[in-house]
Amino acid sequence: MPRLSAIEVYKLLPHKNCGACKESSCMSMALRLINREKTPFQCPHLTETERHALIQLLIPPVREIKFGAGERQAVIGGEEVMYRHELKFFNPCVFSFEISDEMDEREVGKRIKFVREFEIERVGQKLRVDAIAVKSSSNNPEKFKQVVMKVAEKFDGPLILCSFNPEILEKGISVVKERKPLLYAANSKNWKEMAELAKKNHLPLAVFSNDIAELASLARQINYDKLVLDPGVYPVGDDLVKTLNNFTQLRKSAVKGMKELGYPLMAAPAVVWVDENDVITASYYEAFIASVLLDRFASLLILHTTEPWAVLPILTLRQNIYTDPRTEPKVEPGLYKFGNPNENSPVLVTTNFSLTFFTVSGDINKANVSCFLIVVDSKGFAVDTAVATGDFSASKVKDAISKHEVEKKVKHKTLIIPQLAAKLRGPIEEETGWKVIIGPRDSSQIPSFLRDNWKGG
Amino acid sequence: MTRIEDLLKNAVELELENFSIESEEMELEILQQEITKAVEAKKFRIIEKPAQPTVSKPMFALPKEQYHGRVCEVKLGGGSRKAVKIGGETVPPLYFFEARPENKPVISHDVFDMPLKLPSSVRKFYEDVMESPAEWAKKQVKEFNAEAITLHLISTDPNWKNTSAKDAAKTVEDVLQAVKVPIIISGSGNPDKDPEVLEEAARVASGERCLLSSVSPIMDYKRVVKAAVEHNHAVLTLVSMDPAGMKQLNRNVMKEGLKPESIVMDPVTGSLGYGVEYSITTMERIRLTALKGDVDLAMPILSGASNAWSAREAWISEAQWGEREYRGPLWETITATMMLLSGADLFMMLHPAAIKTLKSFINAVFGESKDKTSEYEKWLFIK
Repeated sequence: MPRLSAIEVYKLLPHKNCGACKESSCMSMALRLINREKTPFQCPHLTETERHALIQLLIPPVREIKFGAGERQAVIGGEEVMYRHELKFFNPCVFSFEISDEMDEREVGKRIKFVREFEIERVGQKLRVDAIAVKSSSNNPEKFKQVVMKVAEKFDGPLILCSFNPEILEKGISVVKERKPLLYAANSKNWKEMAELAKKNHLPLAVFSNDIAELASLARQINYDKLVLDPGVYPVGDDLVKTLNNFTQLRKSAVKGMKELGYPLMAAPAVVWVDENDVITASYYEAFIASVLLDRFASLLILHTTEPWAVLPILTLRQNIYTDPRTEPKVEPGLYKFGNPNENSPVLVTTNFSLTFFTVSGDINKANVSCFLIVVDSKGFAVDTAVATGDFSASKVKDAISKHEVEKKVKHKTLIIPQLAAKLRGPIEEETGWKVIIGPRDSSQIPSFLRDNWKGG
Repeated sequence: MTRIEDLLKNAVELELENFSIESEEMELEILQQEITKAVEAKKFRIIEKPAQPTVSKPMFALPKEQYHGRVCEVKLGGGSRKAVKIGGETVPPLYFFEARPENKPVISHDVFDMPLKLPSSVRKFYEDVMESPAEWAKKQVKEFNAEAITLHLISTDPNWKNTSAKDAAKTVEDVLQAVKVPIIISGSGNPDKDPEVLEEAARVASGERCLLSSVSPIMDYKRVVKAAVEHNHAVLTLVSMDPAGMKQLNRNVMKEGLKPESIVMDPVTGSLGYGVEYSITTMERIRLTALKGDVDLAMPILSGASNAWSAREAWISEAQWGEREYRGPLWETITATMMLLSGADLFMMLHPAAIKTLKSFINAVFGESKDKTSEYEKWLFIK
């Protein structure tokens, strides 16, 4: 349920239905504006005042904040709801990785390389990490400037400059101002200087306080439209509930229209490493805390671990949470061909849950084998779920075989089913008269499975 | 009209005189209007303090949310064993700032009635007890502090071992004897066989208040419900990611005489990477509907978080993804955590490390942790 009605937006449009915005009417333009598929600048008939009013109306409860320049600019916030089913979440949380000005050169190089190159392909999407947070653990302006320069030279993505000392940040800004870094952070002691620094350089500014009343007050007094709020994260013990409360209350306040809190939220799960030195334990717990914050509205995370086994799960979670809930996770049922299958090629079967389909088809394509894949209409459920609910059953398989005339396309009558559907072997053989082979547990094993088990029907 | 914000710009405290509002449910907007009127009538004074040098303490109050529903409390165990209670929520999941939940979520550890293929990182913990469900259950309680056990009677599936309901019931008795924590008795998921398996299990476990897992619209659920009512067990209702379907099934089982205090719902947990977001959304919708007052969905929720292991990322060896030994349990941890944050009250889990992480998180947010946190700002100063 969007926060604005089309009527409210329509009222501010010229009612000319002129089509200059390539929409058939002002009403349909109003809908596009709400869905953020068009901007107020695409209507040529608005006066500056009218356009300003429209822009104001369209500002989402959580403002959109940008940092970084060029193609890899980071966009965070812009959110409207507490729960994804109420609309959707718009801008995926940005993952930044910290580099301290006291790290040795090798470590700095390794971390830059990680952020630049780490990439994992999942169900047709390339998952990447986004930004680098350079922090001054030394509190030495010159040292900070040196490492900022080094990072900026080798990395063209978004940067965050981190220190509670305005003089340090000023040094950093002096070398990367045009890269539009995010400044971290104003707090109850330094906020005047930090606000001045940010405003003077037109840079976004993070504000930290673990007391949300104080955070609201700071935001109000700084009075700047480019803020990011950090309520802190307390990874263990009694204070953990404070973290949960702060994040949830801040988002709720924003959604309820408290403008001084209408900014994206951030935190540094890297804090886990303050009390934990063991790489495995700390990485594990940091990824866990990051997942909690991803669920509870964080738009920006500063992370320390670069262990792939810890980063992959949170990248995957981000991909999941920011999926548009309005699109159904289904693909068209049917008979799909891979490579150049002939009458002796294997026939496999799976469900039409889109993630299942993309995973299986990705694996078959990668292996370069020729085969047929029957995609059964399982109402969009994954194999194991669909077996449990009866949406992947012997009769469904039988229907699919006859509907897609599989018996005309191959000479044999052998079907390979997913191992997660192993219990359907008997029922399918009975209903279809086909011989059933139980396939591998995971589709990545299809190539080796076919090599070992497929002798042409 | 005078703007209330302008009037209150430097205020630190508001004192109202001769001012009252009679209303049961008060909207903030009404309050503001009323105050504005009062301000204009100069019926109260604004206490001003000199501007503070750093941060003035602000007014911050979130409008109080009204909820009209309460999730039922379901008790499991009792009889010859410990009892646990789940459910009872009156606010959205872990909204501690609105209300502290009465009951802590409970983790039930998986036990299977026959050796099965488990990923190596899980198998190493249970290898020595996989031949004996009773020993497996004992190990879960003694070594891994299980507060509940799920006995999966997978061998009863006609397409596998086709163990008879009578033989399966013997396994149930063995496990009931072996441990003194609440038991979830789970069939094989075969809709034709499960009714008789669960019926027989309900009979031998009479008085122990188990959770019978599960009934779905495609099976003879009436038979299972009847056995549950007769022997005082709770029943798990299973409908995959469909709140409307779940509501219907709950109504149907209640029509058969099952009390809402004997129902737990399983809206199906999709693994991280393979539909967890649909589970998040389904659970959130179910819980929010319950809090709006829909009694047909006001039951505790179960998450089969062990399903995380169906994701290839949890167990496959793939250099680019890092060590699977850590990746796997983290996969289960995060899957379960998402369900906890979305409203789950009861978990089926498999890997000891995942269970430990989730449990310590639950204990911490319920204020039962002795761990101390450092100052957050210190993250900036780690080299």
